[in-house]
Amino acid sequence: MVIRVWVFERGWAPMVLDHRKHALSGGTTILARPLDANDIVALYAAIPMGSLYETDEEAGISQLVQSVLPRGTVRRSADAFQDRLAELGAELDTSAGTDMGSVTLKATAETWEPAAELFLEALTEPAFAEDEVASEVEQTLGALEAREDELMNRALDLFREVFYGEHPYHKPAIGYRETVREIDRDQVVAAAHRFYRPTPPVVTAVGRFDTDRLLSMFESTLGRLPIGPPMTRPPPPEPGGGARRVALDRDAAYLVYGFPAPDYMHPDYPVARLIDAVLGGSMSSRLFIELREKRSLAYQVSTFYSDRVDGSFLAGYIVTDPDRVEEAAHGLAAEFDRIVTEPIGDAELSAAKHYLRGRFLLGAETNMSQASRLAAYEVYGLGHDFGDKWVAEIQSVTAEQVRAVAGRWLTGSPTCAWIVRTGTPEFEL
Amino acid sequence: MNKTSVNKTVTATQISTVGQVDDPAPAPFHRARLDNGARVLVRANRAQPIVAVDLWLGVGAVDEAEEHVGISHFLEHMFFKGTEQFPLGAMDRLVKEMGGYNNAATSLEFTHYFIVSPSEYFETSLELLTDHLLRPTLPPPELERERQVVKEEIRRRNDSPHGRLFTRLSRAVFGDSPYGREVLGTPASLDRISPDVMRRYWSDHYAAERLVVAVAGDVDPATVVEQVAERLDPLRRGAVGSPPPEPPPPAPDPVEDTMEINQGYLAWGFRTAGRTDLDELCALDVASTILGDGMTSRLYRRLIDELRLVTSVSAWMYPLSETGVLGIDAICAPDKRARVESEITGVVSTAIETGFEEEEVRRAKAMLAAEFAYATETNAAVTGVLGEHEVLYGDAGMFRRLLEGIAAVTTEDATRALAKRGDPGVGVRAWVGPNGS
Repeated sequence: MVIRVWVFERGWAPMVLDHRKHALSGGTTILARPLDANDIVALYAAIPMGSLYETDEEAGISQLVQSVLPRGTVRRSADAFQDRLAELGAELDTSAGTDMGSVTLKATAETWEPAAELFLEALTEPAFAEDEVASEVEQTLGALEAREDELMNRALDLFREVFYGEHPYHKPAIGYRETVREIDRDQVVAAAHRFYRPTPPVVTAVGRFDTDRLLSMFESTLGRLPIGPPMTRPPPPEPGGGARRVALDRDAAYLVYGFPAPDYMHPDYPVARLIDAVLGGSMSSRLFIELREKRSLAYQVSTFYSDRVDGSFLAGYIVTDPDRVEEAAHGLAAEFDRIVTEPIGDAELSAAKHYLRGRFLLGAETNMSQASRLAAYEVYGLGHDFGDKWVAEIQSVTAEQVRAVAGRWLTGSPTCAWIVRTGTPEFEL
Repeated sequence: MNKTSVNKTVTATQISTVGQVDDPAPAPFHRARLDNGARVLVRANRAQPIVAVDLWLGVGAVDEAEEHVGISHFLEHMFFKGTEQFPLGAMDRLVKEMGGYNNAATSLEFTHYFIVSPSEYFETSLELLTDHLLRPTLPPPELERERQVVKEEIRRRNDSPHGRLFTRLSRAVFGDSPYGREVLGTPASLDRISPDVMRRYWSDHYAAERLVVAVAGDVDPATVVEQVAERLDPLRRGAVGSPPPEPPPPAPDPVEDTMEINQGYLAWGFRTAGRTDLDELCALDVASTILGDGMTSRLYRRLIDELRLVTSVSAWMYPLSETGVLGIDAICAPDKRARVESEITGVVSTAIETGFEEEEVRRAKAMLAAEFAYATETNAAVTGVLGEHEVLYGDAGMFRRLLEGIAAVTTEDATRALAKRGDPGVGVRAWVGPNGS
């Protein structure tokens, strides 16, 4: 049976996100990409913060700073601030992860100016009122417990704890009960100064706005504040592998199995993205076909490439029948082995290349996803064409390179996080 | 493609434009009805070289025989098991080669299948989806394997406290009616589905009258309609089923379940008129937004800001054909359950007794309009909105009617609708808590 293939071997057309780069008087970099594809305006402020910059004793402080930030400014109470956002139909969100935090705004072409005033107000004049901090601490403690109730979160947390060992990355961004419980207003204010110092180094804007107007608004607020010297990154982690298991009385088992993987700037990075696409990308990935389609071991099975500036990993995960965990764990491990030992076929390699190229394009469909991509490239110093470069580079990767890179990264001692049913016998891989 | 045959197929097809350039996106769009009754919706969007192709079928768990509950969803899994032209695995492999992604979803009232890809592969996406719709092989050995995968999906859902909570809630609100069914079915009902039963279900239900093809992206609408018409020419007309009647009132007893978790998960369901009363639907959209959408909502301010009683709280609407739910759910420490229930009752009762305020109604309307705009930014979201409205309301442009309806809601409308439907005395409660709670 011959299947027609409609995929044309054409050259990679770069998808550079055209934009203008501006510098405010205080040093903040503004990347502006005016578009008229739709009526939405997306703003994205990137702030170096997160578990990397926290001690174990203050785990969760970055996320707490971010969640209290939109709860009122020196000009407006939390209620007044939120009411005004809602009136404008604007959405202001904040986050903090492992080494970067964000404050984002989504507004319409009609309301973006007053909405951007609120965005700037939150960035430059947050109140961090005492009762708002206390309320957020309380809510975070509940969220910590609820987060743990969804065991996929717990399995990934467990994986990070084992994988990163003593390195600051081992902590969940939300923190621990013992640390969050102790956080008070003074700590939040001090941490906010430490991270914001006092203003974000990079803000990106994508959508239907007037660039001159945007810059003048930013200049009169953010521009009056200096950006501090760059944050000093702690040394990168040196993952060592290992296994940990937690036994619970639950209906499903959750397994995560992985290895260190190349960071953004590593020469092996593009090839590693291909390996990830072969193992876990889409419904024709090896894990999906072998463990779900052929062996009915799971509904949910895939890979997770936590790619970053340092400490990256590539892991496979599966949610399975507690009575079949040993089979599932061996199945995960076997697929990581196979990509090291067997050469990949031309068709599979070519499919993975096209897959990454297309997904790269689809991954920037919304204004906010473009704003976030531009911000990450800038903050991490990757260069505005970082994505286009690695996507172009993978097009010439050979099967031999795939095997060589897999051999370099996926053969050491793996990190395993198992959440199994109480009473499950011990097993070895 | 043979030009003559295309023209022949399309002569009886009327293509109309729905909406104006100034209308809220995703208007304007094109709509056509083919000779066999299938409908085609196209929204051109040249911003990026991306296209979404989405087949919507008015087929879901409410259409199933009681002994085969879960078959619509099971068929959705089997759809991907190949055709004569595209054997097992070919569709997924081709979609990967296109750099796209494909997936599907099944609910009580619809099933849909979509591929999102760079727009140069529009024809491939269309051919893949329509060939699997028209000529699935549904191989018996794959049926056995996939039955286990669906059982794993049930396991996954039941192991999530939220998954379990909403299964319990819908059973409590709709009882034994088809509206209370689990879309995934049960292990026992899945075991009763033989290859013959599956094939018969496909041939009875995957027919033109139930089908809507929605396309959005960098495409030419007239060409899309022509190509869809050509592909779907062999599809039999079939018949549309009628929705199950409104179920009898629910029993008021709370349903409870426990598992090894930390927090308690609470949901409250109030029966509504669903899609039978659009004015009520719009009024309740506004009311539920004021009650429980975001940090400005009454439930958030009372239960989180003032009392610090819950980890999260929200209110939402789930309208079905002849009935529906206004829902409230919250996560809290298990020992606070009684207090949380009484506070939720208090917030809802106060709203009914003293009414909503002008300002909060205005704010809720602004939020709903903006949320809709943000939720239709991608091509996949656009085919979702158009396809879902066409399948459920028989009119893809219904989103405009609903947006206008929401804009016209008065303070009295919102209060009255809540008073009629949201009486805490008749709400049904579901709870999933830690073992021993």
